[in-house]
Parts: sequence; C-alpha cells; structure tokens
Amino acid sequence: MQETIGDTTYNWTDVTTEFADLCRNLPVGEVLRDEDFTLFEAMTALELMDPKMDGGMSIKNHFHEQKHGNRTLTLPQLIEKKLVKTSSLTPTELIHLFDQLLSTFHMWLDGHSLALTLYTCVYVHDIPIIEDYPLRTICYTFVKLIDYIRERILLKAGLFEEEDFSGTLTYNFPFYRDTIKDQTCLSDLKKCEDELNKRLRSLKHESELNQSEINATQQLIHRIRFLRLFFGVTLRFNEANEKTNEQTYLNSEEILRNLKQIDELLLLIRPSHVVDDETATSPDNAELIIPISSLADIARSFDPYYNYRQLPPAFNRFIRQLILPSCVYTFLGSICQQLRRMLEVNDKRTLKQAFEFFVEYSTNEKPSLFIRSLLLLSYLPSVQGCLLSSRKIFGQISFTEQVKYEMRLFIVPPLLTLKYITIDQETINYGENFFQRACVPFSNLFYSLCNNRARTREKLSNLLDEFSVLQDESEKLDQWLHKYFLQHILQANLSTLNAQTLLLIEKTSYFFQFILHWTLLIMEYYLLMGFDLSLYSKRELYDVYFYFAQIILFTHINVYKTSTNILNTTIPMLIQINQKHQQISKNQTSNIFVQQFNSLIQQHSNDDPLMDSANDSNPGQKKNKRKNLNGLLSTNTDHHEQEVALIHGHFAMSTAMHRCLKALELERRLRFSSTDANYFLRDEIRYRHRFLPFANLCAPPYMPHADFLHIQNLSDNRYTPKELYQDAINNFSQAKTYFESYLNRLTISKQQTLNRTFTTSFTSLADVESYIRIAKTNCVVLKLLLSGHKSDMKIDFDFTLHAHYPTLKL
Amino acid sequence: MTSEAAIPNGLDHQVDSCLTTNDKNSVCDDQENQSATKLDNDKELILKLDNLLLDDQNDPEIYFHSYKSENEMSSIMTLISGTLSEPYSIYTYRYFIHNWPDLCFLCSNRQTNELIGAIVSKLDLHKKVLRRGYIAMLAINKEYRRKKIASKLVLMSIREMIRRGCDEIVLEAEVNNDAALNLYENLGFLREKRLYRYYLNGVDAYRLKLWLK
Repeated sequence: MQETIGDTTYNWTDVTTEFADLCRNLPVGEVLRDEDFTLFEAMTALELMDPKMDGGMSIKNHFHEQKHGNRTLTLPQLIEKKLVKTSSLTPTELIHLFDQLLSTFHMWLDGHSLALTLYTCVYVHDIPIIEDYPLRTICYTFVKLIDYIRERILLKAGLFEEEDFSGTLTYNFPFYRDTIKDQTCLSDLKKCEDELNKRLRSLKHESELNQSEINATQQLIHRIRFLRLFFGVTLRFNEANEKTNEQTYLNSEEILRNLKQIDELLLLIRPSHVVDDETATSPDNAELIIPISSLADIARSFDPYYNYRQLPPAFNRFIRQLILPSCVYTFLGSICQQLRRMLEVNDKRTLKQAFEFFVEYSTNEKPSLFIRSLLLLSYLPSVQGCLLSSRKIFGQISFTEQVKYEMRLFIVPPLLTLKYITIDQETINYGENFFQRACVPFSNLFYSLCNNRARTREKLSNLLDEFSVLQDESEKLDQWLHKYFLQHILQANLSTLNAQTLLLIEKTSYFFQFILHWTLLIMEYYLLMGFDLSLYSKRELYDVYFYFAQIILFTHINVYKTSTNILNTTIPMLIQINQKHQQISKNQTSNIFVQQFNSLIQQHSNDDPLMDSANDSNPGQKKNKRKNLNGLLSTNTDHHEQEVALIHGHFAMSTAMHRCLKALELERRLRFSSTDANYFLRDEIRYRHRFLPFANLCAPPYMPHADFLHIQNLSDNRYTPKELYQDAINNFSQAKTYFESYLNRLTISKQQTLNRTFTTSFTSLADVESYIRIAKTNCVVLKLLLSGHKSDMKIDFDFTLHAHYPTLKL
Repeated sequence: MTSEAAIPNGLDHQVDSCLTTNDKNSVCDDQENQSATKLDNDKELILKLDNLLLDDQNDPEIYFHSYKSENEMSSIMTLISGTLSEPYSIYTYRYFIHNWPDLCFLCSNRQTNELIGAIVSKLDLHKKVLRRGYIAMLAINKEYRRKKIASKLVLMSIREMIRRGCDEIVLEAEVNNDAALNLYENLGFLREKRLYRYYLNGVDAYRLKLWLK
C-alpha cells in the first residue's frame, strides 16, 4: 500500500501475519535480538501506538480534531492557508500574544524545554516573514532574551544539573543571531513604543472616543516598555565588552533604577484573561478581559504539539497548559524583588559577609536557577578562558587578595600585618603558592552554595576533601614561618617585648587555624543541611548531635578562643612594631603581601583590626567606638562576639539533645531502637558512612567508631537518667541565654538591619528565635520527665518548629 | 527508578555464574581475613532474615514464589503499572526480570492464583568496585495492603542479595511516600541524599540506602 508523508511516497508491504507465524516458533521467554542490542538498551525503546510513549499517537489524536492529517504546518503554509495573520494585528491580539509569550518565558525559566515553551509559538519559527512591526519586534526580543539568558547566564554560571534545566538541547531552532543584535531589539522596542504613543494620542483626540481601543493600546504600550526595560536589565548581567571580551563592571545603581521602573509598570499592567462569554467583566477591573472571538485570526498562533516529534524518546512529554497571565505577572514581580535583594551582594566586602549572604539568600529566597546564576555571576563574573578561582570578585578584586585579607581579619598573621619587613623570595613563593591554592576551594564554596540545595550538600562534602589538602598545606606554611618571624620580632628590640606574647606567636599555627575555622563552618553547615533536607532518621539523632557538639562545635569554640586570644594579645605589639619602623622606612610598605591588599585595608580602615591610631587622617575618628563589620558597636575584646555566642548556643542545644536522648533510651521511652530484630544497619557501618566526608580531615581528626563509643560512654553512660535530664535542662537554659543575649545585642544596634534577615555564619534571626522557643518547650517537657511523669509513655520528636532541633512531645 | 548506568561487566548480564559468594572470596585474595569476617556477618544477617521470614505466620490465603517464566510477565506489569506513577515499557520489566529472575519475588492468592504483590530488583557491580543491590519496583494490590506482604518481599530480596554478596542496597522513593519510607527505614535504610525534582511530575525523591559493609 502507498502512503505519502510530506514530500516522500512510501510503498509499504504488510508482514504482520508472516511475523506472527514465525513468532509462534519461539518458546516462551525467548527474545530475538541483535548482538549489541541488549535488554539494557531496550529499556529506551518505545512501544508503537502506546499513547504514553509514541508521540505520533498523541499528535494523531490532536490532529484528528484539526482534520489536517499527520502534518505540522509551517508558518508560510499557515499564512498561505490564511490560518494565521502576520500583518495589521490589533492591540488586543498583540496583548494576547505578548502575554502568551511571557507565559512561555516563565515556564522556560521554571525548567521546561524550549520545544514545549517558546517554540510552541508558530511565529517564532520564521520571524523575518512577519509583516507586523510590533509583533516582529516582540518575537525577536523574546528569542534574544531567552538566548541571552541561556548563553551568557545559565551556561556561563554552569550551575545546573539535569533536574534544573534542559536548556542544552536547542533542537536546531532558529535564534536569529546573525539577523538581529540585542541592542537593535532594544531600539526597535523603543520605536514601537513611540509609534504606539503617537497612535494613542491621536485616538484620544478623535471626536468619538473608542475607549476599548484606547485601553488596549495603552496596555500594549506598558507591555512593550516593560519588555524593553526587562531585557535591558538582563543584558546588564555578565555583560561582556565586545572588543576585549572582558567583564564589564556590574552597574547595580542603574539596574536598581530600572527595576523600580519595572515595578511601577507592573502595577499598571492588567494581565489579560481570555473568556468565552462576551459579557464577562473582571472584578475590580484588575484584568483585561479578551473575548475569544476577537482572537479568531490568531487562533493557531500557539500549538503545544508543534515540536512533539522532535522530543527525544525518553523525554518528559507532559504537555502543560500555559500559565495564566495573572500568575505570570505576579511571578515577574517576585523576580524583580529577588533581583533587588540579590544586588545587596555588592556591599559584601569580606568572604565571611559574602558567605553569610549566600547562605541567607539561598535559604530564604529559595531562588530559581536563573537567579542563582545571576548571584554567582554578580559575585564572580565569568571571563573567557578563566577558571573560577582566577576570577575577580565583583570583577574588581582578585580572589587571592580577598583571601589574604580575610586571613588578616581573622587572626592577624605577622606575614600579613607587619608592614615594614622585607620578605625573601623563597618565603614569598611559598606564601603566594599557598594563597593561590586556597582560592580554589574558597571559590568552589560560593559555587556550591549557588546550586539547588540538594546538590549543594553533595558539593560541600566534596569541598571538605579540598579543605583537607589545604589543611596540610597550611600546616607546612606555618612551620616554615615560625622561625622566620621570631627573628624579625627579636630584631625589633621593643622595650615592651613581652615573653608571653612571643611564646604565643611562636606556638600559633596561624594559617592552619584559619583553614580549620572555615573547614568547621562547612562541616557545621553540611550537618545542619542534613536536617534541612530531612535526611536523618530518628535512630541516628544521638550520634549526629553528639558528633556535632563534642567534636565539631567543641573544636570550633577552641578555634575562636585561639583567634580572639591572638587578636587581643598580639595586635598592640604588631601596631607597635609597625609604628617603630614607619619613620625609618619612610612610610614605604615593604611587605609585598600587605602592599597587595592595601586598597582593601584603606577601604575598610575602620574595621581593620590593626587600625593604626597614628595613621588617622581624621583625629576626631579616634574618639568613636569602632563598629565591627556588621555595623555593631564593639570594643577591642569583642572579636567574633556574635559568632561565639551562637556557637555556644548551638553547642548547648546539641549537648542537651544528646543528653536527653541518652536518658530517654535508658528509660526505654524511645519508640525505636537499633537493636530491633529486623533492623539491618549496624551502628558502626552507619557511623562510618554518614561521617565519611569528615574522614580525610587533619582536624578534627577522624575517630574510629570504637573510640567514638568510648567517649560517648565517658560523656553520657556514667550517669543516671535523672542526672542526664537535669543536665539537658541546664544546657537548654544556657542555650536560651546565649541566643537571647545575641538577639539583644542585635536590637541595640539596629541601623543596618532594615529589611534583612540577619545571618551570622549560617544562623539567621528567624533560626535563633525558633531555637529559643524549642529550648523553652524542651525544658518544660524535661522537667516533667524528671519528675517521673507518665513513665510508660514514649517520646516523639517534632521538627516542625525548626528542622535543626526537635521539640520533645509526650 | 533511575536509568542506572549499569557498569558494563562485559558479560551482558549473564550474571548468575559470577554472583555466588564463593567467587567473591576468590577475588579478595589479600583480604581473606576481612572477607572471612564479612562472610560471618553475612551469615549472621541471613540467619536473622531466615528467622524473620519463618517467624511470621503466613496468611494461609497467600503464598510466595519466585519468577518462573514470561507467562507471569503480563500480570506483573499490570500490577506494577497500576500502582506506580512512572510509565515503564515491557522492556524495562524484562531487563530486570530476565537478567535477575532470582531477585524477583511474587506473592499470589492460593485459590485464584491472582498476583497480589511483586518486587523487582537487581544486583550489579557499581563503578567497578561496589556490589550494589537495587530495588527497582515494589507493588502490592490495594486490597491486600497492611498485611506485611511488602516487608516480606523486601526481606526476601535482601536475603538473596546478601546471599550473593552485597555491599549496599539502594532505591529511590518519593518524599511524600510515607508508607515506603517507613517500611525501608524500619529495616535500616537511611536517606542518603535528596534528589531534587526527581520524578516526571517534578516531585523530589530520597535515595534510600542500606549499608551492609
């Protein structure tokens, strides 16, 4: 039999009966296959005529209604058959098309494929033949907008995984890259806007006012203006200088101005709503009602099945309805909000502040791939052929400078604080090498934080491996420097040379402590994310809280102590040495490292730990109390004050948790046990796998399970349940105290808080407030348990107040 | 279920011959002591599993059996595709069941022979070093739920995997599927990671894993 599809005619022979007959010779279960084609390959097979798998079946049903056979008509064909119009479109038609295109844009941002979003619009497949100028311009702009976001933002940021984004597939769709440039779209949109404004003016001057046409034209003008501003804003991100291909500086003031204009426009735009009933009106006139009859000429403009045959076989074939315009415009409003908020990253001038911002932003805003990519590219703009670690922060500050500056802030190593020492080449190389290598995991940290949360946790565990190498390297650098600086300091021959201070400097592994500090931050965040993602089972809680408190937080408390001690003890001496040599060196900084980040020091001279009182250009400033980098009043002894308060709070909470868990276990009040008959996971095996990311670190050193059990024994097993309950109560109270004092200090100095959710390390204000409530509740419950209340009742754990710590429930 | 990249072990999954615990021991020459203790541990586990499976008084109405032939394929597919959300072609079922028939356990009604429950799993070498069991599908007919049939099928599957030498067992489950999550977690499976938007309908999943070594 003959069949013609498109331009080809096929001569088919029906072999069904022969095939079925031959199959009868096969025994049950035998499969005939080609040598290289195994059952594994066969899994991607499609069953013909199965509507879930065979695309043709769906199209067949779809087209059956259209009675046009099995063919997708091209735009020229549709025009020829007068099924769609491409000239003299009315404002209403244009508004509808615009809103539909905007809806496809939203869905694409959400992760749906181009084939099922933008390119379901038939116009977009052949824009040059469209006669209508506004329509042509709008179509080009949407294509360029999506292309720019894809190429310059999503692909450059490289943050996506399969589940986020299917945009690497372009199906040979046209992007008109040679036909029209981005800037041309912007000027074309302006021209459209101007022409429409002229038209609007003339409409308003007519003797008989056509109010509906006036409204429609006005609404169209708003939309075109919106598109121009939105596209303009998008183009400013990761903007590359055309000639040099170098990153241009992100002009956030300009962007904020445009965002404000966009916000105003969004208030004016009335989203369209297509109705069957001609007489329908919108309550409070919020929507622009469009009767379906006025769209007759463009009824075929969108076809969800247009590209169906091109979709890869195993693809997600769900055809979703386009999102309603009212939802789309709300979504765009929230995008603008998120963008505005995201631009705050520009005033994060230390790694710590940037880290806190990234953590806070990803937790609270739950940003889409688009926004996450913008965040990464705003902080670390991409440069052709440049590794992540070689990028400049905000396109301005070299990453190594930032890292060195961070080290100086944290623990004032002599290498980065003594201005007037000359460092030999070997030491410079040694140091520089270390700083360069440090950039890799630190830049990766920011990269990891921009992934979706599930992937972030995975990436953090990989990061810990990188940090373990860095720990090794830092130890070596410290060893190298120890003897070196002792000499220098002795030579300084200060009258106030304090033997104790000298000893301290000699003993301290500056760079190791710094790397350890960040390692611990990552370990803590990794562990807490496990709670955020609901990964821990109730049977694990005891080990998790114990590890968290007694190994991680305990070590971190000591690191802060060390750092605070160093800052308090050695800063005066370092300042003295600098002052002493200043005259001799004629104020020429000879320490090459200090020279390198001198501009950073100057920018933040108020916050520099070595604020040199002799150097003040404004003597009046001396009198002011110094504000630390978070805008809070602090004195010299208050280094890391907030962080220390929070970490003590966490330590107390976790200690309380593991104490009461042990008590509950002893009193058989738990609903579960890992000694259940049908529980097949051995504690030792679980311990090893769960804490595997921590296994390679120098510090905190990895503990085999036997040792871990031993310290648990020493810590908890020697006590009676009553003693444990009491200790837990004490710890929860302490936690409450630490957290409340933290909050009090913040409210005293509120100037910089504004609309922010204030985050220190990875703990936000909202977190702290929840922790306090949990501590209070648990104290109450524990007091009841202490008194032997309902001794036969089991306890449950409720994580609804906060994922990190449960409330105990009777 | 994922489209797992099964490591080409060059044997086109003629796996039965190389999956006995004897062969596994001959591979770990220099770790004989370790593998001896692992074997003891495995024996221990299998004993535990045997006891569990025997302990429970079976409902006389039902009986458990292994996959025997393609004749059973159709009822398996009907049962499973009726309960799971993802669409699978017959070849997906065949891939698992033809290659690992001993890891496909079924439960039927004694009188009507109607298929009540089925578990489909595999055991493969992961990244050339790890012997990983994978539970691809588990389904129980609505009318027979809450009778511990699912746990028994899972126990049978785990027992067979351990018998053949297995380092870990994995599967994916939707974050909202409390029944499945409870079932597996009570057996010792932990949530190893969260998989964002894993399923076609955009829902997240957990990768559940039972570590045996």
